[in-house]
Amino acid sequence: MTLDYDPAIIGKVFEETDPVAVSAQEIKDFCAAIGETNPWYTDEEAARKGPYGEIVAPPMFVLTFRNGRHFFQNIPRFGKGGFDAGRDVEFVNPVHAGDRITLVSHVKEIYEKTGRSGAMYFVTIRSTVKNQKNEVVAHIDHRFMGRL
Amino acid sequence: MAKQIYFEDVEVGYELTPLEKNPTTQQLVKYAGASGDYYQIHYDKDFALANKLPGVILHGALKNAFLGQLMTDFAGTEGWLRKLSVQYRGMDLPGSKVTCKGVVKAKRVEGNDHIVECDIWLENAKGEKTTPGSAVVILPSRAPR
Repeated sequence: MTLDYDPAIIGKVFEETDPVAVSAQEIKDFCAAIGETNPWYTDEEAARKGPYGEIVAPPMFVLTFRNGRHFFQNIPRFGKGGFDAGRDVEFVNPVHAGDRITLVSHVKEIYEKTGRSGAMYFVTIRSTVKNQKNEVVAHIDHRFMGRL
Repeated sequence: MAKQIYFEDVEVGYELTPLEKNPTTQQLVKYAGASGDYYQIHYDKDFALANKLPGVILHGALKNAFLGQLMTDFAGTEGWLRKLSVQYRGMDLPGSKVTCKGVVKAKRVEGNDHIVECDIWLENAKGEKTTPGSAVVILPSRAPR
């Protein structure tokens, strides 16, 4: 069996989210949840003396923009579900408290491969995370895989 | 904060200070709330079991966050985590220790950037690498500009 999809979807933006405002409290809650204790992420005084002069989020905060608030409502569907295979994240600029964040997503690649466990498909969705100044904050490649 | 590490301080094979975590079901609920990922396999045991899982499991993104912390602790105030890639290969359950580890795989200078590449992974209490990956950091250099 091969994967049934329209090749025209590759590279085409399928979702652009409305901006989401990031608060210092959300960054603090995220730090508390992951067990991050570095004061530049949570303490305004320490952040002022830190490299950015104000509170920034730990790098992996960018992964939260996909969840709940925006879970790829328009994601193209393939095969029988599949599972989350991993993430490749490139960090370009930090997220600051007060930023308004947008995600622009497209299908980066789709391929099939037959391995020991049979025929599998692999899909990579790339989300570019941008702030209110239209600066790129990060590129997130979400890798999914499933059986054909 | 630990002392700043410089590009010249690390060689291939250098081992990063491991970061140990002891995730609990309470931590998974906190992460669900903080990230907005309310998929029930991370906090509802009946739901997880009905989905043929051994119990509630850690969010992949939480494991990413642990590995992110390993790298930002390493890079320090003057470093920058440029890339982090992980593969969600194995499941991890709360109530058991996980440890983030890393080793320097390569280092190079590109323009003004002093780049260090690491193999990183999260391992369970049995020492199995459930979440392998790689990371790229820019470190400050002692060399005059």
